[in-house]
Amino acid sequence: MLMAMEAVEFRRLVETHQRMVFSLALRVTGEYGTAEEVAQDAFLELYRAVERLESEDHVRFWLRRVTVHRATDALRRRAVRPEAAAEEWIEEAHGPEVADGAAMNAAVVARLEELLQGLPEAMRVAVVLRYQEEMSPDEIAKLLGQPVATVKSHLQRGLQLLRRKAAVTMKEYVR
Amino acid sequence: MSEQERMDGPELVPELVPDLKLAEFELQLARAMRPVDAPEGFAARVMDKAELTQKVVVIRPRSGLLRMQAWMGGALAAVLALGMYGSEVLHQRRERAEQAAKADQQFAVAMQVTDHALAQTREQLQRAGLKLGE
Repeated sequence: MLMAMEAVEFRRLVETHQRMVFSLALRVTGEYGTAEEVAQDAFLELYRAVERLESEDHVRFWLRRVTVHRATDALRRRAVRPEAAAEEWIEEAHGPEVADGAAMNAAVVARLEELLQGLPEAMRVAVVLRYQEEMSPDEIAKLLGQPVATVKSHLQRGLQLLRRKAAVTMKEYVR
Repeated sequence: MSEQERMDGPELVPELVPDLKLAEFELQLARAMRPVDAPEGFAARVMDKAELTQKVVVIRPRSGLLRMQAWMGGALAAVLALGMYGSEVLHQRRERAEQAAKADQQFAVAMQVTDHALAQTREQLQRAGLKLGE
């Protein structure tokens, strides 16, 4: 069995970071079941590595990096693109929250999530880290081990692509 | 326009999205990409798996030992087979050597008998006034 203190501490870490880890996995993989598997794997890796991590920030950084890597691995293993699955999880993930009208229009959220799934992997990862995790390009570059210029390029192109697609498909959407 | 609609702002209406500036679109994207909740019972499932992982870690040395025992068993069987083969080869060699020695002995006896017979024959011939080979 897990030692009592170890279990309490580990559970605290899971509960603190599960939302972030699951959301990252979900937005990168675009599939609810895969996202849960990826998130669980990330936490199990954390469980094995936790002794080497020095602070809460270090844990967050480590979890983000492992989750992104595991999620992109899962994407590459999957033969089909996740567009079809995206619609399924958008409702599950955003349903109750947007239904009360307190946040932004549910249709726009759903469509943006769908469009995000259509972005190339590298752009999608950069966009998710930037807009979900509110990370700076420097932080993203450090996390992904990429040059800052590459990250900025992925962000810029990803954003333009999303905006262009939104401009086209949302016109059709409201017809 | 209701209070709620004013709070949401006009940029959130789908038909206006194409006209949004990039900065506004970024804002909209950031709002759309709020973190979502993990599925119900997620933490409990992770804890269960972590416990299983630990059990596997505990079991690993034993399974390693089992693997080693299987390997050692194989090696022992091979050594035994080699030993048996070696002893069979030695046994066969010893038997062949014994047979060869026996054959040498028999040959020596036969030669002695022949020599004796020849000596007797030579003696009889000499007594009769003849020489062997004449």
